[in-house]
Amino acid sequence: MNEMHEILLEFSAETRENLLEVEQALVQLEDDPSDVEQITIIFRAIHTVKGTCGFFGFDALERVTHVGENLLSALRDGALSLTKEMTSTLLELVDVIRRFMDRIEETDSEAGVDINNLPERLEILRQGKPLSVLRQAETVELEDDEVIEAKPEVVEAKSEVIEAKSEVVEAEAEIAEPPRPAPQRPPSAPSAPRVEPEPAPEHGEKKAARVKADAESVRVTTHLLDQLVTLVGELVLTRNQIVQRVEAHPDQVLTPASQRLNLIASELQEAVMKTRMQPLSTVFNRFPRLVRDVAQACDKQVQLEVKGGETELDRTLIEAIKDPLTHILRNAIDHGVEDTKRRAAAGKPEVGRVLVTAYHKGGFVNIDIADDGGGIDARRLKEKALSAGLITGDQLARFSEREAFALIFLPGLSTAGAVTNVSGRGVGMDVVRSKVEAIGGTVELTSTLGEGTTIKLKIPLTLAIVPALMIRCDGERYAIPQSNLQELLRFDPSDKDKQRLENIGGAWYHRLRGQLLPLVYLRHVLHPDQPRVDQSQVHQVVVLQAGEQNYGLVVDGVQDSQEIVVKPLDSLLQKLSIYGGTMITGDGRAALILDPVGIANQAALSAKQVRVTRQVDEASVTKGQILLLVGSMTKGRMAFPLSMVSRLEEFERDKVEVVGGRRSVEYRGEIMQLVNLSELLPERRTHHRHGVIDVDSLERLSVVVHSNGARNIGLIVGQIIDTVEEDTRTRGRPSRDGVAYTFVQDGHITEFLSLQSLVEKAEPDFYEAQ
Amino acid sequence: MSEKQLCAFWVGDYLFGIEVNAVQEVVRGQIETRVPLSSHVIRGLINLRGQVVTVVDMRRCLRFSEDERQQSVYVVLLHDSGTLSLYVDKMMGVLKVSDEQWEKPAEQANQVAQTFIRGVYKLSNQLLFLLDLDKVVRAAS
Repeated sequence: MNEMHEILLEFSAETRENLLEVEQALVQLEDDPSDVEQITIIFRAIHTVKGTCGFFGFDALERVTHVGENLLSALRDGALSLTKEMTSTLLELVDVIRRFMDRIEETDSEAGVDINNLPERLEILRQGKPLSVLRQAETVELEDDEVIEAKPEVVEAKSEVIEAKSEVVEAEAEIAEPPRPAPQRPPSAPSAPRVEPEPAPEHGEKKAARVKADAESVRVTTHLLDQLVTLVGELVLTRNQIVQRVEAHPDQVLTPASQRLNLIASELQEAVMKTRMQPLSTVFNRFPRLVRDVAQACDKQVQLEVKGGETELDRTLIEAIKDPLTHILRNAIDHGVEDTKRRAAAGKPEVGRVLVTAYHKGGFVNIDIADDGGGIDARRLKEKALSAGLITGDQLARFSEREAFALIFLPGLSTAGAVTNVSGRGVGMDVVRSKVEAIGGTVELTSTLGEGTTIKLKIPLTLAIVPALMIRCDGERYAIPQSNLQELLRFDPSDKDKQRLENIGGAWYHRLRGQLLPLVYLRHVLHPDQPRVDQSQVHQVVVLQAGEQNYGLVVDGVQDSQEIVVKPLDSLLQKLSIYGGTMITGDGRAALILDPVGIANQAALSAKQVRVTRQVDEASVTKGQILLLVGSMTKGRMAFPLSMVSRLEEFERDKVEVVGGRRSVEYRGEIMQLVNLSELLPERRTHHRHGVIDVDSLERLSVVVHSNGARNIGLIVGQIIDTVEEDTRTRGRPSRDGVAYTFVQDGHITEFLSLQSLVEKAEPDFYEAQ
Repeated sequence: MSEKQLCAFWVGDYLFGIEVNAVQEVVRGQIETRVPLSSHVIRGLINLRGQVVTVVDMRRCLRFSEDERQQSVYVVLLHDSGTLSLYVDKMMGVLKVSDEQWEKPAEQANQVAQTFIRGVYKLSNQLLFLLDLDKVVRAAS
């Protein structure tokens, strides 16, 4: 029994996957009815379901899929051409099969699934008649106005239709029954042998392909994966403790063992994290159907375009954004895209467009949902917010357009003129925002009246492990996610940096590159009852991005960066919005993760304080030297003065000679030694997550040529990133030997290398040999 | 007549008990991390083999003097809200109590203590107060 249940679950999982494919193919087919490939896909999927049903003895499901298959077969052979009615009814077939799967998963039996009069309708369509035939039959018998109104296309109103229809089944049976056996059976009977041999080999091929895929992949419950992730997280922390300990007390046996443990744990962690990644297409694939249904319900024409479905995201995050995305999409069609008439009047193409784009950017997955609809009237939005009592008239007058658009995310605000079937019930964008923010993402709306609306979601790549900066405040350590980190500053208001600190209206600001950066003293936020921080002392500032605004968080001290395993906040602490979670430090202590948005709110970093951020004199900024930014073989970021670089080169691998373990290349008529910059630096623990690139596996080597005036040496790097201007105030303490200091560039901790000492490590006499 | 096993511990002069099934373990000497801005009854967070557990100070809950605390121990429990640790003075052990000894909360406990208990078991030489974890959790959040 139990084994049977397992098999049935497998059947339903497989069927659901097939149904997704069918759904997509159907919607695509509607756009291009000549696409025979799509019909073949649909036919094959439905055929597979039917075939398996027979095996399990699910007669009712077999019957309904059989009729569906007949219709599809006629479509495939070109005997019929696809109508909207057919698409709708076939989509209904998909829904019905899903209901069967629900039932089978729960009870191991197919009994009790309401299939409506779907087989009859499919059959009428197969006979090439419109469904109105059925309706005529209904009206003859029932003379019921309601039934005439109930269109089968209206998916939303289905539940009402079902009752009306089931009454009709018997009535129609008498009329439809007599002609059915006669014309139906003969064509289908000879068509059966004609059809079967054709898909059979294809089917066989697919089977073979699937068998092969099966051998390489197995189904694993997500629960088990989650468990693995937790365990690996713990393993990594334990590894850190052991490695730290062994480093402090080197031991002939333990040291190599701990190094191996270090490596293995890193690789294991990386592999396990990969199992959580899924392409966004798992959500996106549902969109065509959704858009079609909603568009029909709203009586609009909408074309959906999806890009970047291959972008991968942590499974739990995908799950979390499914609903918000669906909601945004519904909104885009219901409120965004205008109906055909209005579009024509506005001189737009009749068919509205909704474009969903996903892409990686700055450590986030970005998803943009853009429509070319009517856009949002910022003025009307403000009026609505005012009448709903969400803002005061005073605030309203000061609001910029972007601030006005942010109003749409407030609870209780809907711009829909009327509450429609699809959306506009007042639960909406506020829920979207809270769901997105709950997973560390942000959502932003921009709109141009008459041209359309774009909603941008920014989702972190993964929840579980994030790089973070450790800071100190009042004797405790806290973590700040690096994704919020802009840069680190250090200035001394008692001395030359005096003019950098400004007090405007009781709030403190820091002058940074011509801008005023609002300052938040973490001590004041966390310990409001303690004495205020002495403003004249040295300021350690962590510049954070919270939503759309930047602010400087003044902390007691900045420590190193770490990869941390984020643990959720205990429910007892949940209402403390200044914390985003908890973690365990390398030395085994619990620590809190700060939430930059929550802190900004707690500090009442008011809109006023943000707005004061005005342009100030550009000249007050010190100019630093120009740095070359490179990526290391461990995917970390490093920099050194551009003045120490004589050229940037790329060498083919086969040009590189390896003699006695040393790489060299012929360069400008002489032999130049190549050294891997990463090999000159001691292994850094915080990099354990990243895979190390094997230099020998690269087709081309990126090389920075450094010269002593007479001789050259080539430094192999992972990639050349950019040149940037050095900001002399952002220095953090060095992370390891060969590093002069660390700083933050574009949200990445970057190591400023002591290039000279590193070169001397590789070639002790390099600078003497002039 | 039904019997129950309670895990009993001291807070000041009071003996408290909770269902033994709710108790995961008892640990000592943990390093605590403070949680600024949290309720004052929360002492902080501890790392329990990779799990971060919130510690609720029972003396603070009951408004007993903290100066009189001579020893302490962490009782780690499973509650609907997750894993939770009570910071108490001393373990007493596991006690069997029967319904016959049960009484609704009365004037035996001081007023503050009364708000955190579900009732009292009258032992031969001692009163055992059955702790209401939901109320403790509510006070802490």
